[in-house]
Amino acid sequence: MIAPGPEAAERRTQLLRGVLDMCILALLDQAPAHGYELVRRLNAAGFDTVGYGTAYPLLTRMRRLGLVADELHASPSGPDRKVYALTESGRQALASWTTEWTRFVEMTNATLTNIASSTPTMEKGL
Amino acid sequence: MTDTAGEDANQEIEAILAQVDRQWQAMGVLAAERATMTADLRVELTAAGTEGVPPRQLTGDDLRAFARDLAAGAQVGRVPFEWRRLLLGTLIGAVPGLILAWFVIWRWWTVPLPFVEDYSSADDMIRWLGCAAIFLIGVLYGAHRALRDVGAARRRVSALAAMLPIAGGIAIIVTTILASYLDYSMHPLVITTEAATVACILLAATVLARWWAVRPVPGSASPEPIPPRQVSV
Repeated sequence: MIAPGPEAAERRTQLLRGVLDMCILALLDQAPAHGYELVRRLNAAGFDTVGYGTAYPLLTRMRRLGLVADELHASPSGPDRKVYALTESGRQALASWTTEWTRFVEMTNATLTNIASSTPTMEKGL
Repeated sequence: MTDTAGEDANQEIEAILAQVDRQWQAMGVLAAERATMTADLRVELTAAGTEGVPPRQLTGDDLRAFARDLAAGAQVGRVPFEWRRLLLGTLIGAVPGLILAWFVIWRWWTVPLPFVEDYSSADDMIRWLGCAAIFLIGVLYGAHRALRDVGAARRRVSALAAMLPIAGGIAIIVTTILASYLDYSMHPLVITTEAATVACILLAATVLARWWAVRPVPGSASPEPIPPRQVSV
């Protein structure tokens, strides 16, 4: 068995890169949030390596793409806050990405299961 | 949060914003885009600060990387091929200027200056100044043509117009000192060194002019609205 090392971390980073925008959309779909609140939610969801420096640029990009809209909300305890929420395009994108992701995971799981079940046979054959 | 602590936090936020903006400026991000992103980031950092979250905790210590990621994420507009175009434009502009200067001043034109006793040195000076003027006009015209569709092109060309004569003056002084130190040698290596010195000084002037032209201008921070782009999913 190969021990998890830097390669595993790199693979995890790449996986994260592929799904983080989808997860941000999902979290904002549950409830609008401001920037660092969103990071807290991501951390609470298990994405503990995701910091503000990663999430905020992504959020900015999705706002540019029209998937997320921001609105200044007055705060009773301080300055105004920018709260992000999903747009209609964002909801459509989330639905589409979720379908795509589910299909991808099923396909991957099926492939991995096939390999796992066929490995002993191959060893026997060898 | 006390007033002093609040002031400190604001100062820290402004320092971070200034550093991030410098990075964007170095990346060639358009001024309006920079102003928008800076305003957004200020709101974020200030709001987080009121909840006791230090700005550095959000941005991390590597502000350059943060700025780069943010610019990449935001897919901001940048000045396209600015350096290549600027250098190419100025070089192309300089060539006809030099050729014209050579023919007009050295071959076909002698300046009659009967009222000047030291005729030869005044004549030489007029020739040099004429050459420099034609060269300068060619370079500026080339830069203007090359950057005509780029934002703040007029500011860049104006900055070049101010910087190049200064650079030319410095180049003359430096090369004169160098030539004097080397006993006015005409050895190819000496001539090459002198030419390289002049080129370096002119390049430095172009770099300074570019930096000067894209510097933040007070009052220009009002962001232009950027329409969101729709994506097909």
